[in-house]
Amino acid sequence: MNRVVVLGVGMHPFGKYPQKHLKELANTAIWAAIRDAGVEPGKIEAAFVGNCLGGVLLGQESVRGQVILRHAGFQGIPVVNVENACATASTAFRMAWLSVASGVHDVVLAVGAEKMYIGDTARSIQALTMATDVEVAGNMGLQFTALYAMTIRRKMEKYGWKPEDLAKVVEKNSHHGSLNPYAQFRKPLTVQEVLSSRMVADPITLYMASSIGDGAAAAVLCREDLARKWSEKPLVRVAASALRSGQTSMLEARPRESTTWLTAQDAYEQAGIGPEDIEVAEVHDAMAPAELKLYEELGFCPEGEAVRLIREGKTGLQGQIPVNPSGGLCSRGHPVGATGLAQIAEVVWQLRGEAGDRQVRGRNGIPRWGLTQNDGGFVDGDTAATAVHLFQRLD
Amino acid sequence: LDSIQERLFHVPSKEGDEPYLIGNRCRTCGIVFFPPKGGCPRCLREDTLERLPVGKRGRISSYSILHVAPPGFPVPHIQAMIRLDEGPLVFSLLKDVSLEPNAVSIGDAVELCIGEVRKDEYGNPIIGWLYRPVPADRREELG
Repeated sequence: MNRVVVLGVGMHPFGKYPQKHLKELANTAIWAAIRDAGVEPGKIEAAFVGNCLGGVLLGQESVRGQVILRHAGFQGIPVVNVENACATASTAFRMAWLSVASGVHDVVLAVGAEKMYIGDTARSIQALTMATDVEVAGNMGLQFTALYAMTIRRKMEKYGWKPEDLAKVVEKNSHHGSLNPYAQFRKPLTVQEVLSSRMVADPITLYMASSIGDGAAAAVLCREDLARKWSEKPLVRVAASALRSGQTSMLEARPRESTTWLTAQDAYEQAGIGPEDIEVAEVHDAMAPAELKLYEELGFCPEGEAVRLIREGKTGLQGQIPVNPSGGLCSRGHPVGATGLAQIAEVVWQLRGEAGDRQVRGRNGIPRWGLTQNDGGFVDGDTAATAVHLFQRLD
Repeated sequence: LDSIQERLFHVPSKEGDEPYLIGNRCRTCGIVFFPPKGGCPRCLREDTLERLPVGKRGRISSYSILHVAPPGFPVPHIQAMIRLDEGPLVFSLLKDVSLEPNAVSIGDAVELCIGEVRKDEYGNPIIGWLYRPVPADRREELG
C-alpha cells in the first residue's frame, strides 16, 4: 500500500448560517483545504463527499456530492457519496485514504458538510432519530440524548462518576472552544453553570449536549512521495485508518469489550504504536460526559480511572493527553456529517503547530502523534459505525 | 407503523391472551433475538432461526427521564433499555412510573404492555411495546 499524507485541511466555521446553502458551506471548506495543500486544483482526481441529513432536511436525497463539487467548480472527476450517520465525514476520509493507499489515485479530496438549521428545530432533531433502526427505535422515539444519558447513568452507578465530573468535561471543552475561531459556541462555562442549566435527559443537562449546527470541513490527501512537490508545511501522515460497525452493547459493555476499544486496537496495530504514544486526541463527545467513557475505551487510562483524568486536569490543553482541544462536539459544534473531518482538521493543525491559542504541547514540543475517534448512529444496541484515525507528523 | 403489529408484537385479542414480542432464536447456538434476525451473527447461518415469543418480562438496563421530546410524545417521559429475560436488549418507554427521581432503578423487574407510544401528526395513537414495573405483590412469584 502507498503511504498517504494529509496535504491540506480547511473548514467553514461551525454555527448557524440561515442564509447559506449546503454547497456554499462545503465550497468554503473545499477551497480552504486546497489553498492549505498548495496543490494545483486540477491535480485532484476524485472526491469522497460525506453528508448525512441533506435528503430528509433539504430534500436533496441523491447526488449531494456532485451538487457540491459542481458548485465548487469540479467536473468530470469521480464523486462518491458517503453516509455513516455522525461518522459520515471520517468514513469519507477513510474512502479517500483507501483510494490513494491502494494506488488508484494520487491526489483526492474528502469533504464533510451538513446543514441542520432549516428553520424547524423539531424536524432537525427528529431527523437524527433516523440514524437508528427506525422501525424498532426511531419510531419509538429513541433520542440520542437519552441513549447517552442511559449509558452515563450506568457508568455513574458502576464507577462513582459524580454530576460534577460530567460538568467538568464541559468546563474544559468550552474553555478550549472559546479559543477556537471555528467553534460554534465560544462562551466558557463553569461547572456551576453546566449543572444549573436545564435538564434535558436526566442526568444530561442542556450544556452537556451538542446542538444542531451548520458547517463543513475538507481535506486533500496525497501520496507521500509526491507531497513534497507541493507543500512546504510539515507533512502529516495517515498512520492508521480503522472502521467498525457495532457488535456489543453500548450500555453494558466494559471498556475492553466496546466497539471503540476494538476499533482503536485495529488502529494502534496498523500504526505500530499504543495509546501511550498519543499526544492529542479529538473524540466523539456528542454529550460531553461521553468523553470520560472514551478515555477508557481508547486506552488512555485503565477501567474506572476516567474521572481521575478529568479531576486532575490531565486532558486539558496543558495536560498529559489533551482531549478535544477544538472544544469537541458540544463547543466546536456537531453538524453531523462534517464532524469527522473537523476532528481531522484540528489534529492536523495541532501536529503542525498551527492551532494558535489552543495549541497543545506534546512530550517534545509540538505533538507528533494524534488520534481522532468518531461514532455514528445506533443499531441493535450498539454504535452503528466507529472510526479511529491516527496521524503522525513527519520531519 | 401498522405493519409491525403481528410482525414484531402480538396484541391480545381476548381474555387471558397475553401480549408478547415476536423474536426468533438460533436452533444451533440458542441465542435469542428481538427484533428477529435474518441470519445468526454467531453461526453466520440463515437457516437455523425459528420464531419465538419473547419479552413478557425483563429488567431495566438503564433509563432516562426526557424533558425534551419529539413531536407526539408526552413531556416528560421515560426512555429505557430493557434486558428481556430471554436475552435481547430492547429500547422502550416506561409507563406507570412516577417522574420523581429514583422512582425506578437499574435492575428493576418490568413487564410488557402494548399501548400508545405517541400520537401521529393527525393526533391518532401509534401503538407499540411499552414496559411497566411489575407490581410489588407479584414480584415474589418471579423470584
